[in-house]
Amino acid sequence: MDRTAYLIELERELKGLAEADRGNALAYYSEYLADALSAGNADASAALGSPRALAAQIKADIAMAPAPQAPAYAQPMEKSDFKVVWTVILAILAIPVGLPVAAALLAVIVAVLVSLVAVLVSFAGIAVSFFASGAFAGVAGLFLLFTDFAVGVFYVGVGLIALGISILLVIAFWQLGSLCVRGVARLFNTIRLKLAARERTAS
Amino acid sequence: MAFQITASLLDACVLSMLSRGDTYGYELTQSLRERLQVSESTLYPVLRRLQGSGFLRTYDLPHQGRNRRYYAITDSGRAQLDAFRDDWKGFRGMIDGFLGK
Repeated sequence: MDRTAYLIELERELKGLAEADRGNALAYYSEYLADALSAGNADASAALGSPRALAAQIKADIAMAPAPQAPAYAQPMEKSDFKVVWTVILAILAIPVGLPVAAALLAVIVAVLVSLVAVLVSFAGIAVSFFASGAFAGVAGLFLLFTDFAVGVFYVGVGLIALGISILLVIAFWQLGSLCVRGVARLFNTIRLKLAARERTAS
Repeated sequence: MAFQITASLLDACVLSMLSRGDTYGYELTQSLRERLQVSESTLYPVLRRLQGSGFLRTYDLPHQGRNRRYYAITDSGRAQLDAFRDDWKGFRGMIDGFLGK
């Protein structure tokens, strides 16, 4: 079937769907057939099946998950991060033979966590001090404007630069923080999987 | 093949392909079909589902006088891909426990 005829037929078969759903599906398959044609695949519409069958498939799928906003999966990590961490710690403690191992592992984990937190806190400290000194220099500069204009302008400028640096530092702190949380959660998840696998082979 | 590809496995494969770069529907379908036995109309529901979950976003680029819709993986899509990889490891280990290596 010719591409245009196929799409007209498909549009007719999709009647009854919400406007947005029908438009999305038509746009997708219109583009699909055009791309197939430019790739030298003229029989693409035959490979898609009849317009009626394709429409039935699209409708069935939309009937099963109507709102495109409805997430099919629970959002991963994020919320369960701390749960994973606790599960691993409890699982390690639950191994009776491995108590010394558990102690060592726990110490390593705590050390890693503490050093991560220390790095993050120092980052925050630098940001705060830049912010404070920037604000102070800026305000002082504003007053100096009335006594010595050039010096005042200089201080205001220095203050603004320091404020800008502090904003950049806050952004860096935020990125680094979320990176750390994700990394730690992945590490713990791996440990959890390893422990689960061991438990399975043991039983 | 005796084993069927489930919706979750398809989602995982598509996310993995998108994690290597943005692409458009036709090309994505072709590269999927190079390695999996799926029909040409398999991908549309997968893309719809992944977009609904916020795991991918789309943008349009002009191509030969029309628009071509590109699909890109989002940050939460990457996190989901990591979760899929971990789940797959566990699942594979479970089946390997029966079938051996």
